[in-house]
Amino acid sequence: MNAFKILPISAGELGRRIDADLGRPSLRAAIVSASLAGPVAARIAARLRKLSGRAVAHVEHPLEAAALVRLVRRAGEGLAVVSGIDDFSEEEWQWLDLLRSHLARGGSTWFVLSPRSFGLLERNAPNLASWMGNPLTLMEGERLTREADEDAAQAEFDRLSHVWLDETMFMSSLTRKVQNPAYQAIITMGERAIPPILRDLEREPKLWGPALHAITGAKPVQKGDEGKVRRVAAAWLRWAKANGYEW
Amino acid sequence: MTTRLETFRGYMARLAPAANPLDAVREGLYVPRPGRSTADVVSARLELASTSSHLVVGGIGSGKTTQLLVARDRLSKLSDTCAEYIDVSEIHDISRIEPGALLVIAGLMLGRLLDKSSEDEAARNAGEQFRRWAHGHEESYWVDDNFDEYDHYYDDLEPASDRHSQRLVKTEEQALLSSPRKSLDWTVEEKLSTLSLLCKGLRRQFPHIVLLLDSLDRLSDVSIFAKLVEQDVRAMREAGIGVVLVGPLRSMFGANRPIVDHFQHFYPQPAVDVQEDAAGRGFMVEVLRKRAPAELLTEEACVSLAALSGGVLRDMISLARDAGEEAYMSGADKVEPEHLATAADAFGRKLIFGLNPREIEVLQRVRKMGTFVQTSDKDLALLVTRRVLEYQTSARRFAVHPTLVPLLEQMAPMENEV
Repeated sequence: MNAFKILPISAGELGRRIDADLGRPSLRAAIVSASLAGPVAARIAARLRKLSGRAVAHVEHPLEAAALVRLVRRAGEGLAVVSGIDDFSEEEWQWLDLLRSHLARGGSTWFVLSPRSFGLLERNAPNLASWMGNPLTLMEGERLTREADEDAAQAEFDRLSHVWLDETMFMSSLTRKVQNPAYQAIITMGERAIPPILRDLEREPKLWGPALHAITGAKPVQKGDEGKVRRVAAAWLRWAKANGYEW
Repeated sequence: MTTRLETFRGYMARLAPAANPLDAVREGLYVPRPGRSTADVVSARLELASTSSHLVVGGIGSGKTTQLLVARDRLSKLSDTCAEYIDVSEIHDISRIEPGALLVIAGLMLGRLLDKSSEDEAARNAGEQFRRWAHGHEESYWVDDNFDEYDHYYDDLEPASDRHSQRLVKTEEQALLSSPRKSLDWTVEEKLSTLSLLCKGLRRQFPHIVLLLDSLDRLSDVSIFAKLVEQDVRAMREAGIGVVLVGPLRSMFGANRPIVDHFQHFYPQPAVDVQEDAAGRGFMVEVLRKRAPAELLTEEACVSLAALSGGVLRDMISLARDAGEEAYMSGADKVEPEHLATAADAFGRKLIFGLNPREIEVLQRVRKMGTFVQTSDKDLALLVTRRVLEYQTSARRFAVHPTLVPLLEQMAPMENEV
């Protein structure tokens, strides 16, 4: 591998480039580490959705090139974001190159790729690559990657909290509710679970005090307020603000 | 009043490298190449000999599709000629293409052109047959349960007098001579005879039929392309159809070169030599001028972009768009030299990304010596992916893509240290 890398850009810059990109048919590539491709793609999709006011198709983990093309084409003139194609082999990229005419449509298509996948694209799908503008590489540790990680944490929390609510809906014992595996999995998420818990507390207070205590070790609830769900929630939200949490 | 964002969006919309070339032609953005373009020559030759065969070969983004579309438009103006442009990849998954497929595509297209009120039943049936070949079909038929499918075995078991009065005996002797020309596959023969019926019916409307087939340049396996040329293109010519085909760049080199000989006319479409050909440079600038207003993209910027593109049309359009994005991002109202430099640097980094030391070594040699001798398929890949560009203005010469030059220069000291 040679010494040159594609220069990274900041998260804010990516957002501005997405704004500028709207309204024209285009194929673009954003390069991020493989582990963040999914959440970053979700964020790009959300940004495009917000800016355009239109539906954005997020094509995740298509099984093969033909499936990718089929799913992107379903977006019609709309916008599409593709991620989860890091398992594509050289042959799969070559196939995608043959099918590239089907990707040319009225809307924009964003490919969120790992550096390795981008290398495979350049080498095996040169026609498709020549249609793409210069790729945008996102700085690791930048705000967008942090936000992307937060998105992933939110998604994980949403999934676990739904399971927890379903499984404990008819339980009266608070101890058993807290011992539920899904609740314990949220505690295992550690600091990543705090912003989603705070958002949920703000929206509709629930039994999140034990989880927050288990993660942070803090005890912000006054003696007389224990067991009073709204007061417990207010105490934790006050504590979070005082300790610099953002949610 | 137009906002700055709207101005830049308009600029970028006209510089989309993935846009359909047909739209560019329709919108009047087409600029003829200096001298006689491929489209000029192809259409002129087909006007004179409508059943001739033509192969167009060029690098990525060299404007082959546009040339085909322009040639099609010119031929369509002739009242006695039916010229159809076909993007094969739009109709068929070309990774699974096999001999006969081009004939079926041709039959489908021509079947649609056949006048619905045509009284030529054979031609109408032929059109229907192509639809069946293309999309498959189901048939139901009655079977006689009393029929013994092993009936013919009895020939050897029972006296002939019981079943037949005479018995035909066949013997076979192998032919000593065999034709140097490969015979058509029987499946292709079958499609050829059906296509001939369809063409016969269509000729009442159009005495001359020309098909311009695009996208086959994407076939990385040249042997498949060779089979299509040997079978389908030959069959189309036998059916009296003029054929223009876009082929893979690899078909021009080494052992693949005989493929070119199957065609009566061959058109290499090299990059425009912006360095040594003033007319070519002017053409490239004119392409940009048609798409971008001078307030956003000055004459100097256009000249720089032409040079940075190495004469590859799609790369020039892509670079112009990326430079526009840089200008927008930096708050400028027009594309400045620093925006061009940023766009070119990113473009070069994209092209150099993931190349191995051996490939870098080849590129350094091309940069320093201007020589390029492809000794392997990997070397050829550098040409196919336009990291190495070939020019044929006066003498044949090679150069690395201009956006790679500064990066390769930076790498040279590193290599010397090693």
